[in-house]
Amino acid sequence: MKSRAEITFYLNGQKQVVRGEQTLFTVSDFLRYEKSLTGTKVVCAEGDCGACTSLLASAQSADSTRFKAINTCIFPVLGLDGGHLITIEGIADGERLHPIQESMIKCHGSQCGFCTPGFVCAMTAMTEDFLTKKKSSPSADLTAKKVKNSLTGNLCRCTGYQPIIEAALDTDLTKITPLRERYTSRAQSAELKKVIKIPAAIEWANGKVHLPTTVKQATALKAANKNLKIVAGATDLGVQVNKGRLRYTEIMSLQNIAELREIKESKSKVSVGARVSLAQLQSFIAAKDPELDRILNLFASPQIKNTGTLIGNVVNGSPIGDMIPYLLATDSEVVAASKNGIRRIPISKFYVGYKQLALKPTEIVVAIEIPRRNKRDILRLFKVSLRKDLDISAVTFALRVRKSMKSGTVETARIVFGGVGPTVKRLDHFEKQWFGKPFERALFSRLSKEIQYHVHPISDVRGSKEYRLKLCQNLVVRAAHEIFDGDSQ
Amino acid sequence: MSTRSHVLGKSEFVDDIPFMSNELHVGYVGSPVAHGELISIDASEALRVEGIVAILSAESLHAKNWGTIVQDQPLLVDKVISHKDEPICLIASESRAALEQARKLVKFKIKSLPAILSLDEAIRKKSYLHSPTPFQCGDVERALKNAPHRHHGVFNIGGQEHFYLESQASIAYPQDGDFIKIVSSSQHPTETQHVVAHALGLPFHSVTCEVKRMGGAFGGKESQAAPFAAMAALMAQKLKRPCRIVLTKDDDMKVTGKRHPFQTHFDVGFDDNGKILGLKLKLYADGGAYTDLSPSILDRAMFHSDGCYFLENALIEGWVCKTHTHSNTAFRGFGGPQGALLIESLFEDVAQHLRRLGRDTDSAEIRVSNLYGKAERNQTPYGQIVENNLLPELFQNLLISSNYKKRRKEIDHHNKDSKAIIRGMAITGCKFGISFTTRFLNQGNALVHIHRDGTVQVSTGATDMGQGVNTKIQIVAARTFGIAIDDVHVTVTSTEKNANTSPTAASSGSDINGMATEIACKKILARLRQVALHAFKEVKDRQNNAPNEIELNSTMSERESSDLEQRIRFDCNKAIDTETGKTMPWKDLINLTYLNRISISDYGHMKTEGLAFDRAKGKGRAFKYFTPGAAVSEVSIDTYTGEVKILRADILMDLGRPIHHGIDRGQVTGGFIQGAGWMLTENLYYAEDGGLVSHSPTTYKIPNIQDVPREFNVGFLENDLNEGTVLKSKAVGEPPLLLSASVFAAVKDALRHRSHCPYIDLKVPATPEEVLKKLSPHEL
Repeated sequence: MKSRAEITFYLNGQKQVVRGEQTLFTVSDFLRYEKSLTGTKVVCAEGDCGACTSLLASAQSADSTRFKAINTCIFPVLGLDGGHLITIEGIADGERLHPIQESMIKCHGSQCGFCTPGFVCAMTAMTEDFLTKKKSSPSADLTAKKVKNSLTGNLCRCTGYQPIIEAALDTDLTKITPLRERYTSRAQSAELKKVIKIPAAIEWANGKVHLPTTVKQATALKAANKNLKIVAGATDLGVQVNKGRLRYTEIMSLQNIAELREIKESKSKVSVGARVSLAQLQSFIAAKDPELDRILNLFASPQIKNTGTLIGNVVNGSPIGDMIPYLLATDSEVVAASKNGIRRIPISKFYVGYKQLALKPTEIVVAIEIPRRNKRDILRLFKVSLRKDLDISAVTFALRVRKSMKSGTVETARIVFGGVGPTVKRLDHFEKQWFGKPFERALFSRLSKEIQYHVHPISDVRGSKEYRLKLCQNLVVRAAHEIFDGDSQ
Repeated sequence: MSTRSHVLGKSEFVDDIPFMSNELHVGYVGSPVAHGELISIDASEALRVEGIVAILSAESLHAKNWGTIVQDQPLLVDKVISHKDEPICLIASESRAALEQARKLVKFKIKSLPAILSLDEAIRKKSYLHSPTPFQCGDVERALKNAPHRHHGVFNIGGQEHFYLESQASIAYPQDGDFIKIVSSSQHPTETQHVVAHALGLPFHSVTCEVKRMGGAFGGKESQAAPFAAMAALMAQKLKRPCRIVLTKDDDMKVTGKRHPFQTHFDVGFDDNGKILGLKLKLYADGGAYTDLSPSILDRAMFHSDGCYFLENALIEGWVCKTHTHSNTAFRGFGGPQGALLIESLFEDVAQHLRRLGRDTDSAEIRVSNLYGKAERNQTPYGQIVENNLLPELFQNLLISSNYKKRRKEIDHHNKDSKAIIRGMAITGCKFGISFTTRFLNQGNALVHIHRDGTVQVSTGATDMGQGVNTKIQIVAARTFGIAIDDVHVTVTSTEKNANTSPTAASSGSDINGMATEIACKKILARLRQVALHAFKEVKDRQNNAPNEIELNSTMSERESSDLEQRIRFDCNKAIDTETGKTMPWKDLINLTYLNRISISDYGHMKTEGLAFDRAKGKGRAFKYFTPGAAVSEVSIDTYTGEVKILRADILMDLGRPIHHGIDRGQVTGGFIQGAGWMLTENLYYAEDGGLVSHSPTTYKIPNIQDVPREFNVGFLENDLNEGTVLKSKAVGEPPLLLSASVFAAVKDALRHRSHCPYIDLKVPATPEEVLKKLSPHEL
């Protein structure tokens, strides 16, 4: 079988072939120390501030010339395979500033300048998207709301953001030549698409990177080395490495397995592949599931959603993982693959302890299957954090109730809380209690009063146990108000 | 003026400087305990890591302590550890990876000692670093006794992390001989130079400190940039190799000081209309482990505890407490915001008190009735008269432009019916004192060179941290010379060009350095005028070796100079003889001046006139002038979760005649939002061992773009009243931060609609958790 020992990508229009240890570097280190491209800044090294934002188009995506914002400080170089990366140095066209840069100057969107390259890149990603959308709906307008949603992943400590918002809105969009036109070509796309079809095994003195192209290859590698770490979007793994909590020497990424990039829909369920990004998922469900769409908006920045995956969030197994309550409430299943085939694990059985998964060492998660909801389902999702946007939750709450067709009594209830223990918790006690009862306020009232005996949150940086408990109680009340009084969020 | 290179990603910050081939990475190893006695260090294992070049401890230092006011802070722990993560030893390494590996391998033998980790405990144990002479006016005891209404209590204000995006960073380059050149991200190159020289045992002239720009600072790099520069310099001195120290964001947040947490004990007496009759305050500032700038910060808190309101009878006392945490330091406002916040918070209580007695009153009315007056009721508790007072106009105009009255009705109406969301609104004001309260710092110098092509280079002690001071200096020079802005370049700040400079702090950067620049420019202009006059008189072509060289008249009377000043004007890159209408291009005049062997460079020195504060008495003129402003904020609160959202903010400020609207507006929006973060979400969370847990943006939440109010109006009340400052402008850096008090007051205003508490004794920050505590429970 054909194989390769390097990765290939483009950087600001220049072809790059990278081998060895450098494939494990963070992209920002690679840019700053190997390429002397110091415009990309690193502040938090954990994907929370956006100073390191660059733009990536990847051959693996359906739209392989669409440039998306990513956080380069936590993204490994190996993730660039088959991609085209544009850094701040590539935004201007020679001496000619990009219209975003011009308006940032004009509107005083830059003070100290340290966050500016990241903002300019995130704003450029915003205009790339907008100009693509504009083609299909010419009447679309860039609103302050859209600007804010595009820039939730970038922190600025000087301007108070107002001048940046004004700069974005002041930009003459008609003067922009999209990066897509400036930097990509058919030949280049074809070349990169060809590259990623070849499995890669990159080895150096004390490390190894695997980029298989089929699930079969991946499970074989995992069977051969049970400790093989799998990296998805690296939005958590990258942080663990940067903060010195983890060091890995052998790693596998499923990025080049085409089938894992797909969202498959059948009558009964939606199957989300292991390499489906949260952004891809969000655009798929936006119209179908506004409740999930709303939570995804608060959940993470565009940069994180462009690289982070649903499966990454699930396998990370954090008790405050924002997607887990939703998946528990919907009775989703984890699809695990090994050399011996496929196994489905109900997500309610997937977490056995704090970050402990019911996964065999030879298995890899290849998909999550979300059952389609019935018309009789009521779903409510809540997420509370210190700062509303882009913050890890203190408490999450998901509720799904299915009423029986005839009597209107509760046929199924799923009551799920996150942030209240070592794992996300389903309150089976109440789910059973609700079964067969008329669906009415009294159920909520009792749940709110008795929840204190069923969840035992701890005090930490995100909130005291008293606060968390009160939130649990209040969120139950809020759900009742929303459902019975139509008081929406 | 760096904006173009900023947006291109071409602006060079310390860590963007290419590495020298022999350069080393330096890092420190911090203490695992908050308080203890260091018995021994075992670095043997760390030294075995490949790439580690040296590990040094306090013994290698020539002088062990540093400190701006009191030299009580060790650069490296010698014997006593006074806070968690306090640097104990330094490591120099060939690579960053090896450095990080080695940092985990250094072992300490420490005898742990009991630590004071809260302000409460420090107050109880009278653990004080400093206490100044109180400010007092009138007879506060009698006023309180006779007041129809009284309210007393304790107000807690949390600290705040600067969260400058560029963490502390310095590179030390050993030069010929013993000389050291420092490149640092510092607001105070002179102090950095001095601290380095002192630590290394070098005379000041052997150390140069250079600052091109900072990726944000906000006070956090005023004193606290220096120790890191000294760490890099110590290694550079010992190893004779360039050494670079760049903190990670996590380390920076753990080890550097923050805005001081305050606890204020208050006792206020007021009349039926809410007019304050007497106010007694005890301010306790958490200084952390060492003195740093705390005495001056406490001073400023005391100076600003009147807010912008007249206090006829007041007693203001203060203490800096010592605790076993990082040494707290300057942060935009420098104690002023902590001082002023109390009184703004109090007005909400006063209004609530009167409302409970059945009075139909509004906190805005109460504030207006307490504002400083113009001709009377205009003296501060420390005896300074509030001159050119535009506070009444600011409040009045803002209440109208923000539609306050109508919105108040809407809000009341909304709160009656709404279950989920309640709203609140408040107006607050500020009058920020402009001058360093340490008098000798109120001086500055500037060096101006004109080159033969007419372009100008200016250097001052000002450092640019994003506030645009260099752009303002550029404007001052360009306007004074009447030339295009692009013909002026403000160069890198360096102690080689400008020595004995003051920190770029106290909002004074443009005032001091701009004024010094203007003085230097004017000295050159006086010579250029004489040359121009000669040139205009003579038709003859002046060549290089013209027989009659122009000589300066050094005996000109003041009258003659003033006449000449009237006659020869500079505008549009030309010298203009207003009597004859003759003109000469700037470039030609400059070259002509040079050819006649007359200097086209000069040095300007300024000092702020009129300061006369007597520290021993706590009386006198502490400030050159005040920068006042007012803000109306409206917030909403989610009563289920305690989450707060700022719906709208309206700000109006008196900045005299602003030098640059865009820059000043950016300072206002930036300062306000930074303050709003402090009011709402920026929560410093410490573990029981005294270590900071919220040491990265994952857990420490500064405002995000979504937190900007949907409607955000900023206006200036322009005027020419501010005489004796550069181009009649006013300092702007810190004052707008104080206006974020309106956000806090608005939260209190909202809470009164749904709270079970008689007074909303809310803490800062008003996090969702804190807010939820004050809300009555929901019923189903």
